Amino acid sequence: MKSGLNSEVFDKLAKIAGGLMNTEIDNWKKQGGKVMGYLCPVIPEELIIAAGLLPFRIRGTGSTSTSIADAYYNDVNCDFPRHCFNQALLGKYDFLDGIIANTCCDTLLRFADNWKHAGLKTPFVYLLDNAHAAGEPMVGQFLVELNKLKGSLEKQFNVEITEQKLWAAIKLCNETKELQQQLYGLRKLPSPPITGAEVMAVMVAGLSMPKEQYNKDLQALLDELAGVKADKKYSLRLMIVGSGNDDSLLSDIIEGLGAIVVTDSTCFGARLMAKKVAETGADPLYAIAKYQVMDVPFCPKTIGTHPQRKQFILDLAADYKVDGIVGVRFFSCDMWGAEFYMLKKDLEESGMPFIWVEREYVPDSVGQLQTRIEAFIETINDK
Amino acid sequence: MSETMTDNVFDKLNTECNEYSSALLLSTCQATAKSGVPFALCSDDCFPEVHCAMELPFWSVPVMAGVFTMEPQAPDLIDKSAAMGVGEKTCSGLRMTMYMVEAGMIPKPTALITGNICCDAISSTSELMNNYKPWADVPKFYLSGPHDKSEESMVEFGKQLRAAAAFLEKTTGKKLDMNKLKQVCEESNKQCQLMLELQMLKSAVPTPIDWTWGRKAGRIARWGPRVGDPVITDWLERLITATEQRIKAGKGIDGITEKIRFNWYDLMPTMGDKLFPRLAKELGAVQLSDHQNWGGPWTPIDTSSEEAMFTSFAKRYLNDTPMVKHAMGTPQILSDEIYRLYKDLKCNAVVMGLHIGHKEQNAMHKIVADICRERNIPLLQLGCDLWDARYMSADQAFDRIKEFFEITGLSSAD
Ligand code: SF4
Ligand code: SF4
Repeated sequence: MKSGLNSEVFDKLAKIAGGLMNTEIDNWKKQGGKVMGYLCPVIPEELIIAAGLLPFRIRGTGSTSTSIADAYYNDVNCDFPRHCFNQALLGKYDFLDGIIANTCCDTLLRFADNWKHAGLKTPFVYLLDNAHAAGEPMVGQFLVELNKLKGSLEKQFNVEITEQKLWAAIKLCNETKELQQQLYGLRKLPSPPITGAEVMAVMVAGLSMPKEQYNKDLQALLDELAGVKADKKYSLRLMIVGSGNDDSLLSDIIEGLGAIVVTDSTCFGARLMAKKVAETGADPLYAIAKYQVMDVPFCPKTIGTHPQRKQFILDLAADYKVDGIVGVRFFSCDMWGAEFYMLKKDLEESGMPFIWVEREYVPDSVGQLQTRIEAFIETINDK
Repeated sequence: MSETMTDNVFDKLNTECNEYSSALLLSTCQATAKSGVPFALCSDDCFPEVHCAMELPFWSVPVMAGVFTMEPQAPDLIDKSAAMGVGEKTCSGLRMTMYMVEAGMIPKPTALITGNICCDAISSTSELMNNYKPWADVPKFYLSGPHDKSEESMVEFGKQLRAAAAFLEKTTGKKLDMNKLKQVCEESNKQCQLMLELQMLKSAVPTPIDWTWGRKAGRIARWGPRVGDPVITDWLERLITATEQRIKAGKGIDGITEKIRFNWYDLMPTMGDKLFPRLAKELGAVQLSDHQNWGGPWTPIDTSSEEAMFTSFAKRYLNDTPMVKHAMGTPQILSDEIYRLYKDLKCNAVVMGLHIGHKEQNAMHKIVADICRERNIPLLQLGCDLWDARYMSADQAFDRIKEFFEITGLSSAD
């Protein structure tokens, strides 16, 4: 990603997003802090933070091959976790003091098993059973699971996760969301002062460093952006929809073609921060469970939520004055296959141009993706 | 025709089984819909005992489609599903199912139960059915199956199943009589015990009957409208008696000189009807699995209370039902089952199908292989498509398995 921003704070965040271990983590560890890797946003950062740990969202950044991980996975498995695991096998995740995986898809389901089997020296490896349906009855069930995780964290790290700590962590994470919402708000402008690729880097950095520092950095970036006079013209305003895209591959292609990505519904992007956890109530863990099972913008792992997903996308598209939507699916992702098929029909009905593409985590070449997106842009421009 | 058909009793059992299992067919579902009788569909049969006690016609869409993959038009439907773009590496059986739903081949149900159980392809199909426009007004219930195996999770999931049963009562007008349910469960407990006995009889050397009998037993004792029906108990008892007689007479599978005993550890592929007879005939390699262990053991249903029954259904569904226990179980559960069957059935080797759709098994293939190596179990992980023989044909699978037997010294290269 090439950035047009002349900003030190952005450069710092982009550097953090562009690697795994970073100076913020290094400082944290030097002060005796511990770092908890986790895979999916359904694993609440709030709980990890309340345990006094630094949450780090596991990603495959920097990976160039899955050759070692392929002893554990086959090529029918999505290559996102394979690249993440390959990085772990190469020692790139040795800075983690624990990992929490979850049951969101059949490939991720085995991540913790493989981690243990490979003899990686991470002291804490946990599998969280997430809910697969939404609604009030599921909140109780997910709360049971969160309480189990809480107990395990307390035991492993010899801490007490009090209600007070949980409320404070909820507040801190909500502050992050608030700032990220402001960042996204700037993209509603006719000429946004920040590109989609740049926003992606800012979002990824937020999952890779202490939240307090991130919030300060993000506030500084927002202050800088407020003074930017943006007047660049873009041919189209596009939106990206999909799963764990932790890089700017798609945005780079789109923005290299003269369009701009103004919003997204991805699990490293808007789905992370569109809604907040309640900051008051009888039980903070209940508030987290309720958020995850009833309020969060759902991904397809939650059965029965396609109408909400569709509405979330359509609302964003209207808010951000989107001209077209690009869906992106990792090869072998079963969960997003039928989803895009349904979404295509829905979006056709509402007259929103839509294309969906398949990608590898580390593609050999972007030629085919580029050609398809270029054709899509031309079709919209021709209308 | 199965090798054991020389005994008249097996012919009769086969005829009866075909009659009972016709209830699973798409054509039966279509006829039911046409007749106007209320019926329910689901993304996986979560509690056969309940819908049988309710006398509610009930179909698992993937099972119905799975049976349909044996039909000659199945490859064409799989090809047609490509236009939906759901992905080549999604279970072909479920790609076909999705196409069948979208093409209007599956009749509109009175009620629909869907969930994440047991795999990503089923979750995806569930969501497709939930949003299929012509079924927009069909009442829907969503299940969220836990991967956790604790008693607490089973009790919680049992509550979801109880709520699903109440949903069926409300939407179909059929009543669930708890006394009737208890009767069905008690009979089903007997049937499950008999299926396990049948499985153990196959440990005789030579094995007395071929693999298709386990599949037949599972189909009628665990699927469809006759679960817990004494007619099925009687069928199983007669099958066991006839099998015991073959053992007493020292009879193996007719026409086969048994040399290798192996367990195909996966669901039975559509190519199985060609592959397994050829392996038996040409190599004397007899396949012993009864459709990825439909023989059990199954959790006995505790009929002491309503809650106990539904908790037992949760255990049967999540921990005992083939495909579900494999997709949602741990590598240890899988490896332990492979080991038990290997030992109990006196096998010389294990072949894992490692179906392309089984993302979870593909993601733990090394763990299972390593555990098998530690336990000295010769293991081949094939990597096939269970429902589309064009991905790996019966002949290609034969060659791979033959080569594996040669490498492991179980058969000679000539
Ligand atoms: S992209 Fe799909 S298959 Fe890959 S890890 Fe995410 S949910 Fe799983
Ligand atoms: S468990 Fe396997 S065979 Fe069954 S639907 Fe899923 S992928 Fe297909």
